[in-house]
Parts: sequence; structure tokens; C-alpha cells
Amino acid sequence: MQHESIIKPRHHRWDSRKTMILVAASALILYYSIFFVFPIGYALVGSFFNWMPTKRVFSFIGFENYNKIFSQSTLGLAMKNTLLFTLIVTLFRTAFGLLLAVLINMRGKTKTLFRMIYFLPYITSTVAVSMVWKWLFEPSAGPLNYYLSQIGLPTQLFLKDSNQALFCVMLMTIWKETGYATVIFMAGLTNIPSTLYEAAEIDGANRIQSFSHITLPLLKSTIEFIVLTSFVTFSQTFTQIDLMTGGGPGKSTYTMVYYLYQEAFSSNRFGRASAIAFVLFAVILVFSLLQLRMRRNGGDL
Amino acid sequence: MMKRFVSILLVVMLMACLLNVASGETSTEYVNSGKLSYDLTAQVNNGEEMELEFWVQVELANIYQKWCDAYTELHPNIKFNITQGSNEDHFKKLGMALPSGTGPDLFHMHNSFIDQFMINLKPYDPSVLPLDVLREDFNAIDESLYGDNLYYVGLAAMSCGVFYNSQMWADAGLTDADIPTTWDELAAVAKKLTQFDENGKMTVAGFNYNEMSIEYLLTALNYHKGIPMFKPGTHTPILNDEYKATVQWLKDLYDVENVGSVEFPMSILSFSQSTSAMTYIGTWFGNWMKQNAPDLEYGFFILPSVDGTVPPAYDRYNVEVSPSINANVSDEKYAVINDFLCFLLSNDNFVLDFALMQYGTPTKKCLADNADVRSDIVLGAVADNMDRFIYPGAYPDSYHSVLKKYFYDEVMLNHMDLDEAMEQCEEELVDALDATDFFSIEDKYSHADELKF
Amino acid sequence: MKHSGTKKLSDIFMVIFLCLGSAIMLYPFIYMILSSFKENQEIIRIPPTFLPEKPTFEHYQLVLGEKNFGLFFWNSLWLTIVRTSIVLYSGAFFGYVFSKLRFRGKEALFLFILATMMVPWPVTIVPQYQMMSWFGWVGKYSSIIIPSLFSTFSIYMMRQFIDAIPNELIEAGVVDGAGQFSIFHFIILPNLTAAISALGIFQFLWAWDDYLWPFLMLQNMKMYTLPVGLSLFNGQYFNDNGGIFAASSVAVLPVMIVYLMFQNQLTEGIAATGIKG
Repeated sequence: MQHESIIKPRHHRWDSRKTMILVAASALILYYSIFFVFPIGYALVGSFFNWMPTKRVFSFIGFENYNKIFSQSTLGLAMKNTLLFTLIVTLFRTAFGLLLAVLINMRGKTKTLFRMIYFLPYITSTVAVSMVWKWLFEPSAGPLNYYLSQIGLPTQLFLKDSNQALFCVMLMTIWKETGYATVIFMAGLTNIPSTLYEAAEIDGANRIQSFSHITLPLLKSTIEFIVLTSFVTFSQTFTQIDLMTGGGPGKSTYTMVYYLYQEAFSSNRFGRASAIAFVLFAVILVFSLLQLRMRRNGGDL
Repeated sequence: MMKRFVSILLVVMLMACLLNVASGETSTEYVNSGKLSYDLTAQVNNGEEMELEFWVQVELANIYQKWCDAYTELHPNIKFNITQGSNEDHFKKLGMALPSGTGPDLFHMHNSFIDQFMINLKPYDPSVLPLDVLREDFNAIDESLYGDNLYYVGLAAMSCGVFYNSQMWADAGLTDADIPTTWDELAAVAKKLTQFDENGKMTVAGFNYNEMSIEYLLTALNYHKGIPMFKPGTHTPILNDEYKATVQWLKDLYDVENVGSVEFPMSILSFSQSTSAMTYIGTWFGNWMKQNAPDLEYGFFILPSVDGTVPPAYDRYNVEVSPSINANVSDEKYAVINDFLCFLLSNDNFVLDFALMQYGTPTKKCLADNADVRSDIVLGAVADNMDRFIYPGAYPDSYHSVLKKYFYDEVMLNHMDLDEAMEQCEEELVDALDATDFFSIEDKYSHADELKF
Repeated sequence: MKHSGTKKLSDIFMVIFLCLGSAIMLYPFIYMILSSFKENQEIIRIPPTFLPEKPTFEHYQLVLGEKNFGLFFWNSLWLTIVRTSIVLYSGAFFGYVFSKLRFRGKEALFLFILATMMVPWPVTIVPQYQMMSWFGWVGKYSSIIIPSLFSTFSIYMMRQFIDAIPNELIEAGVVDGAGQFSIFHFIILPNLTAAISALGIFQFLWAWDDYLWPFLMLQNMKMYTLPVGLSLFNGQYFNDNGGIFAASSVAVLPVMIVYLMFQNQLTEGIAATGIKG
């Protein structure tokens, strides 16, 4: 950022500049220390303790919490589900979002109408739509199975089936979150000069070719933005799991955050919950560093 | 004479209103026919203003609102601020609030949380609510006692049994005489009630234990065989070969006898949709039916024993309890709360309201022969056999949710090997219960000698 | 044109695709609204009905009357507006400092702040709860507002937006003898209207949807927000399905109506954040 130095410290303005930096830096350090560093440190310490707040128990047990969670199969399952959930939802959100953006962008008058419809789920409350979708998936009185049977397809157990439940929650999440990606991509598309497409058409390129040679490369940073924000959001999925499946059937829809929540609030084991949180933290850290490295190595197109 | 006439009139009116519990049209009259005395005219908190924070489960909100209002009418200086929470949320929130030194002054309690919460609670004041007097008035006092302290009083005994669809029962040519007395008869009746379409697809399940029934059914059936839930005086769960045989029997009901299927929705939903003819479920289901399927006629019976003889215990029972007090309340609030609790516990109508809302048998002795409890097909049947219902102690909720997770989700839905499920289930139960200080009191049961510890 | 035939065909295909997709997007809302007028026994009936047979308002009476969702709505609204305004202001302020001022350790501080975005929020729930009780904030709105005074995302986005403001503007201010605070308030902020409306919608939606923390913090039912109120219907056994649908409708419809009224401004605002990210 070469332009930063433009505001040179001038003698008679030194004070306001210095004050502002002082105010900003101290406010930030204070705020982030209180609401991030301290609680994280607290939780880190807590992960080495047998910590049961309701019983006022807080006794040191070393690595016992970590040993316990690593010896249980739940951790692996929750980790697998979290990764699967994050990857699939991120992938579909990005892909569908882009596809819809391109398709909607080609519409003339109906463009805003479609954009509005696809964006609608995004603005609604997760709690509300989770409860509604839970009923849509209800195997007997829910409408989805009814429509399936009407068109002659076998009915499904959806959320009551260990093999389907997680995908059903993913489906709801994709339904709710895709509109956001669509709108962002549509904005990205309007920034691409139409002359590029016209030139490509003259060169005889078809739609798919101009999509992969013009649209995709020019939307690279937008795609990165969507992927990154999706990754951070979905790796911490909780609300829809809690409301739609409660982690079940069995533990088939346990995600890391849900696992942590259960240990803390149902089993009253906050030490173990903290240990789970730090395992998740470590995984996210590794992924972020990987992504950072990939970005650096990849450079700009 | 006049007084007597009025009270009889009131009782009659009360009875007439009982049928309308769900719509909230019950008497707000204070009636006390027990030993615990309460002075309706005495002033509380020296007449000074006070507001009490009271958290209740959403289902009980109307009843508590009603009796709090009645109390405020007697003592206009005392106001209540009632906050509602759904069943699970209510206790999760309390679990955070109480140890942090905040939270409500008093709250709806469930005994499965006593182990977690006890340190954050203040026991009832024995000078206002003397133990010996309460014992004379209530059945389940000893179940609620910790040391010499009472943190709540069991007001309604909750148990389970089999609900059947009366119409289907009659359509299958069954009469009251066909009410099963053995496990085999239960399976046979279920078979008669099961219906198939022309393609051989099951359309009505004869018996449904899906999702929220199997975990309780398993415990009850094991009691029939004399298998307790825990080793005596400990929280070590018992999962032996006989236990495994019970799971197998339940599994065979679906797989071999073909009287039900996991394809059907959870028991309560399927029953109210008339796609299951029988289900085993807690008595609270009576209320659920009022709300969701008021037109469906049903009958009820207690689980039959293995061979028709009286089993060690027909089933387990639990108690729904009166509110508990936050350990952090001031002395002034503590005094008012105890007065309020005395008002509630001494009041027959409150206990009856509470029990009927929960759909359990009231534990107040003077209500034992209450005509409405007796004539209720569910509560009457439970009351008749109360002697053979066992109270295992206030164990944590996680016990049954772990059972459900393994024996329904894993075994029935995911076809996990039964031995593996038994092993994993035991491991998780031990892990869950080890976090608690709960100890089984099954050995204190009056027929404990018939149990195989 | 030899392409025109296939082009037309693929056009029709695309329109059908979009319409089908729209139906999927809208169906849950339609089902929700219709079901909120059904009696509970109709909702669980097999086969399910689409239109209510005997339309009833009882669920709305419950939700808006006894359960007081109207109050929850206002609580949600003002709380969200306050939280959004604070986050926007603080975001712009710190964004300005990071974008236009130079000081030692700036990059390190910025990286440190960004790193906090990676921390899974549940890690901090329990300690934060403890802290709130030390501060005596449990059950008060301050427990929700103060921990979210600053938002990393907002600071990051504002810095991106402010980067695009030409330095000449600031220089002019400096030459006129304005202090940094007045430069920020009178030169930078007026130039950030697009960013503020863009980011504002976001922060608004997030704050509006916030569930777990307010749920844990708010103890008095009169202070509940909509998502917290909604969870009243999340009973495991005593499901009041009609109540769920009516409560969800009450939570969803007002936002939808506002969105429909301002949809152009809103979507374009949101799009702007994506470009800047």
C-alpha cells in the first residue's frame, strides 16, 4: 500500500493523528484481548481440567480430556461430517450460485424478479426455516414424501435415516445460502465489459467457451471470496443441526460444533468441550494456512 | 352447613371443569384438604413490594401463570415475572445461569437435573414446609429427599403403558377380554392389528415403538425379568445377556413377527395419524392426544408380564416435581418463595392442575380417590398398580437417550450388530453416568427382593 | 443465423430451469404460510393437505397474543439496529486507521485481528458467559451489544472500501487544517454511504439471525428476540406444529416485505461487499 505515507506527520497536526492511532490501537487491543484472547486462553486452560460449572468442579487432569476424545469414535465422525458438510455446501453454493447468476443475468425484464426470488431464503431466520424444513422432510405427513409417492418414486426416511440425514440438512443449507452467492456473482458479472463477450463471439466462441475463458478467470477473486466465507461459516454449522436432527439418528449428523455443544450443555463437561474446540481450531488453522500458501504460490492470473 | 355445601359445590364444579384442562378453564379456588396448613390472610414481606423471577417450561406456563395470579390476588405486593422456555432450552439455560450466580429466583425443576444443580439450590424451609407434615400429605416425599433436604416435592407420578386405537381394536374383532396378559399375547394381538395392502406393504403397524418408546420399553420389559437398571447403590448400568435377549425380542417383533416397522414415523405421531394401532409411551401422551388428535378414541393398559404372573415391577415411574429455589436468593425472597410454595403444595387444585397437565397421577394423598383421576383410563390403570411400579432414583436424562441412540438408531435403523451395540452402549452409558453423583435406589423398592441384582 | 434455432431452444430450457428453481425457493414459504392456518390435527394428517381445510387463526392468536411475538419483534428490531449502527461506525473508524494512517505494528495488529476470524466461536461461549456474569451483564442487553461492538469482518471490509477513497481528499482536509477526527467524520464517512448501506444489510441480517448467544443471555421473556422466542416452539415432545408455522411466519414475513420493498437497493448493496472482498 504505497499511498499510506501520503499523510505525513506534520508538526501542527501531529496530535490528532497520534491521538487517533492511540485511541484505535488501544481500543482494538483492549477489545480483542477481553473478548477473544482472554476467553480463548481461559478455554485452553479449561481443556486440561475436569470442568463442570454447574457442580463447581474445576480440577486439573492433564491431557485426560484430549485422550478421551481421541479414543472415542465420535471425534472422527464429527470431523468427517464437518468436512463433508463444509466441502459439499461450499461447492454447491459456489457452483449453483455462479450458474444461476449467469442464467439470471441473461434475462431481460425478469432479471430482478428471479434475483429477488433466489435471494429470498437468505434473508430469513435460520431457526424458522430449519423448523419448517424439518416438517417438509417428515416421512409420513410431510409433503416431500407425498410428492415422491405421487410421481411413483419410493418414499424416503430423510432425517430419520442415518445415510440421508446429513445430506438433507445440507440441502436445506444450500437452499438457504445459494442466493447470496448468486447476488454477489451477478454483481461481478456486470463488471465484466460486454465488449469481451462480443469479441469472443466474433472469434466464433460458443457460450461455454466464453464462460470458461472470460467469465471464470475474471470472477476469480469473487469466487475466492465466496469460497473463503463459506468455508468459515459452514465449518461452524450448528443451528440447523440442533433444530433439524439433534445430531441423530445415532450420531450420524454430529458436527464438531454440535459435538462440543452436547459435551458442554448435555453432559456438563466443559473441559472436554474446550478440548474439542481446540481440535477444531487446529484443523481450521491448518486449512487456512494451506489456503494461504496455495494463494501465494498460485499468484494472480 | 353452608360452608360444607359451598365446598361440595366447588368440588363438583371443579370436576366438571377438569375435562377442560387443556383449554385452561379450571377453578382458581384454593382448596386444602391436607394436613399442611396455609394462612390465606397473613401478610407476606411486611406488605412491601417484591417481584419474583420465575422460569417455567412452556407447557406449564398457563398453570403457573394462573396460580401466580391467584397468589398475587391474595398478596397484591408480590408480583411474578414468568419466563418460558422449551423443555430442553429451559434446563440448558438454567445450567449456565445458576452457577454464574444469576438466573431466576425460582424455577420449574426436573429431578433428572438434581445431581447437576443441587449445589446451586436452596432447600425448602422446614419451618414453613415441615417434612413430617409433607410426608402425611404426599406419597413421594422420600424420593425427593437428599439428606434432610427437600429441593422439590414430587407432585405427579409419571409412568408408561400401552395405548391402543379403540376403533382398530374393535375392527380386528378384539374385546376387552383380549387385553394381553403375557408378552406372547401382546405379540399376538399386535399381529391381529397389523394391516397390509394388496402388495403386502404394511399400512397399519400393530405395535410401534419407534424413536421415543423403545428406550423406555426396554427398561420396563427388563424389570419384568427382574433385571434392574443399575447395580445396587451405584450408577453402573446393567447390560447382560438377558438384557440382550430383551432387545432381540423387541427386534423380532418387527423382523420376525412383522407387526411393525422402522418405516413408520415415531410412535406418538404414527399413533395419532392412525397408522399404528398400539404404542408404548409415557402417560403424558394423553395430553398430546388432546392437542393433536382430539377425535381419536383410544384405550390403555399396563404392559403385560412375561408369563401372566405378577412381575417384580410392571414398570418404572418418575415424579414431576414442584419448583426449586435458586441458592442466591435473598432472605426476604426466600421467605416469600416458601410461603408461595406452601400456598401451592397445600392447595389441592394446584396439585391436581399440575398432575393433569403433566398427565400423571397426583401424589397428594387426599387426591388418591379423586373421581377424575380414577375414572381416567390412563391414570386409573396406573393408580391401580402403583404398588408394582419402581422408582430407580433421579438418574440423568442421558441414560435413555444413549439407549435410544444404540438400540433404535444403530440396531434397528442401521443394522449394527447387537453385541457391538451392547458394548458401545455400555461404554457410553458408563462415560455419561460417571460425570454424575447419581446412585440407584432400586434396592429400596418394596419388592426389591424379587429383582436379580 | 444458424444459431438462432438452438439458441431459442436453450433459452426456453433455461427459463424453465429458472422457474423450477424459483418454485423450489418459494415452496417452503408457501407451505409454511398455508400450514399456519391449519388445525394441528390437519397438519399431521396423511395424506397431507395443501390448502387449509378449516382455516383457523388460533395459532396466530397464540403466537401474537399469549406468546407476545409482537414484543419480540420490536426487541429484535431495535437491538439489531443498535448493533448494526455501532458495528458500522467502529468498522469505518478502524478501517480508516488501517487504510490511511501509518504507524508501527499496524500490519501485525491487522493480522492479529484477522486471525480472530478463524477462531470457532463456540470456543469462547463458556468463558464469555463467565465473564458476563462477572460484569453483571447476564440478562441485560449489554451482554449482547458490548461483545459485538467491533466486527472483524466490518473492519476488514471498511478498510477495503476506504482504500478506494483518493488520498487527495484527505490531503485537502489536512491542508485546510482539519484534524484527523474531523477528516474521518466529515470527509471519509460521507464518502462511505455505499459501503455503509452494503455492509449494513449484512450486519443487519446477521444480528437479526443471531440465536445462540442471545438465547443464553436473555433471561427475561419480555426481552426475548424473535429467534429466541421461536425456540419456545422447539419442544421435543409437545410439538405444537401449527404454532411453529405461525411463529415462523411472524418471524419471516416482515423481513420479506421490507426486502420486497427495497430489493434493488438491498441486493446491490450486498453485491458491493462481494466485489470489495
